[in-house]
Amino acid sequence: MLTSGQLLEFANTNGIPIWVLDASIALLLSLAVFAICGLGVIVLVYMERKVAADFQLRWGPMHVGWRGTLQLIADAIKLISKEDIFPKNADPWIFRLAPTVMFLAAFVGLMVIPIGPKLVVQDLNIGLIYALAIPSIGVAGIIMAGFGSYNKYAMLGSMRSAAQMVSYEVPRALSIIGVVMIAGSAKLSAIVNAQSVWYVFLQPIGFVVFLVASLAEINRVPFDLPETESELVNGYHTEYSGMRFMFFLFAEYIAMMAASALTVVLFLGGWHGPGPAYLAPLWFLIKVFAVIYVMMWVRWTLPRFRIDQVMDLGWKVLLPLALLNILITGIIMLL
Amino acid sequence: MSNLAPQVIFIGLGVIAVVSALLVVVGRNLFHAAMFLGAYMLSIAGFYFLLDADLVGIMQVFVYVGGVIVMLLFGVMLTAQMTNVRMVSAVKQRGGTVLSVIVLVALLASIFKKTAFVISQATPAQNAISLVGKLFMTDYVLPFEVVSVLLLAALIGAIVVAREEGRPQ
Repeated sequence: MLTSGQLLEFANTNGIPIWVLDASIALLLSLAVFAICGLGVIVLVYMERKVAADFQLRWGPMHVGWRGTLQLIADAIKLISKEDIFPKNADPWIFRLAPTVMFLAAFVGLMVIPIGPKLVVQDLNIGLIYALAIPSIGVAGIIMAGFGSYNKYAMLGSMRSAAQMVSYEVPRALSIIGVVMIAGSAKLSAIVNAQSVWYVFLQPIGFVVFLVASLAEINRVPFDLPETESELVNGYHTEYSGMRFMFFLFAEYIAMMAASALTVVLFLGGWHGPGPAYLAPLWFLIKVFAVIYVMMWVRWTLPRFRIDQVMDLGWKVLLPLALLNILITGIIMLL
Repeated sequence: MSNLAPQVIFIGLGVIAVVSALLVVVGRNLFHAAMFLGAYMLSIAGFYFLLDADLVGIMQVFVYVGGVIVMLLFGVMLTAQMTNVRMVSAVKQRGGTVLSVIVLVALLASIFKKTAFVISQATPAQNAISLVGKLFMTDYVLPFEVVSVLLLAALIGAIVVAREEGRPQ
């Protein structure tokens, strides 16, 4: 492994300015994260279809490749080669930018997740706030998609999602205050290091509130009101097709990855696990996939909520629970 | 040479901030104006990051982009028949506008000229978040609590306004 000192020396001897070095490191890291995202999305979509099939006593994709493993590659090629339909009355810039904004918001949020000791793109002191704040830009992307499409279903879907995401941000942010209180830091790697006991045992209420609010934040069943097929055709991405639609799909699965990674970091001990230190990323991966499996399990088991039920749950159940969690944590820490 | 990269980033952010702020005012489409306001807020957050004030920067993103802009867009979309409507102001007061702009520019220019810009030599605070937290709970506990009460009052006010009178709950 190269250390930063060796890199600096290399740059100095060869006359490379430091900012070139910085920029190329940043570029390489973001490319690496992008590659992980792309691979992760392919694995997740395949997993989703197989899990769904399993819950419904079907086989799922079986024909392309061994047990349908190449199905997703075929699907991606199909989506790329599809016609790009542009609605007549759509707002050109807003319509084009919406998938990008959503994708970027989900993607940039991954940058602070530590997957192992010192294995993190940017270990910010405020990593936790960052991980909560950046994905909230994605709401703007959904609203842009709804407005730009000039379609009533898209509009309704995006308005629902805006209301839902803004509401669930509150209990989600409050539910992790207990974690910050115990760990004494908002730095994600410090939170993982502080977990000699997983916080899911110390913060059971916080964990449940966080998980439910995360499901609502990433618009998964039972909170997929923004895209209810039965009443809104497809919600905010009704008018999107081909490549642009694929970007929405991408953003959704990356957001799911980020949410489950954050759950693992905050409550499930991050990279901690038995065995030597180099197994840390593997443990992290296993835990992330376990959380994702639970999310898929929820999706294919539970029916969808009505919009008023969603709002009631957010404001009348989760928010008081999150506040209660802070109170209990505070009292126990004082005693 | 080592200061080149921050300067390039600063100028880039500055151009984005000025152009998007202008487009907020000049644009006729309300939704576009809200989007440009979002871009402007993000560029301001970029300035904070450039100054190593990462807590303020991320709060800028959290509160203004994630909260205020989303609420603004939500409001625009709730307004009936807002799609593809071009807003044209009926009031045109050229004389007054020109006069106030000249006064404003003169005022800003004189402030700019008279201010001695001192660049602090102090190193940026490390781990700002715990520092801010400690200060909130010690030196600034009274303002902090006053703001909390104010926010609570605003919340209750919103509930009272939104509640329909006479409807059994």
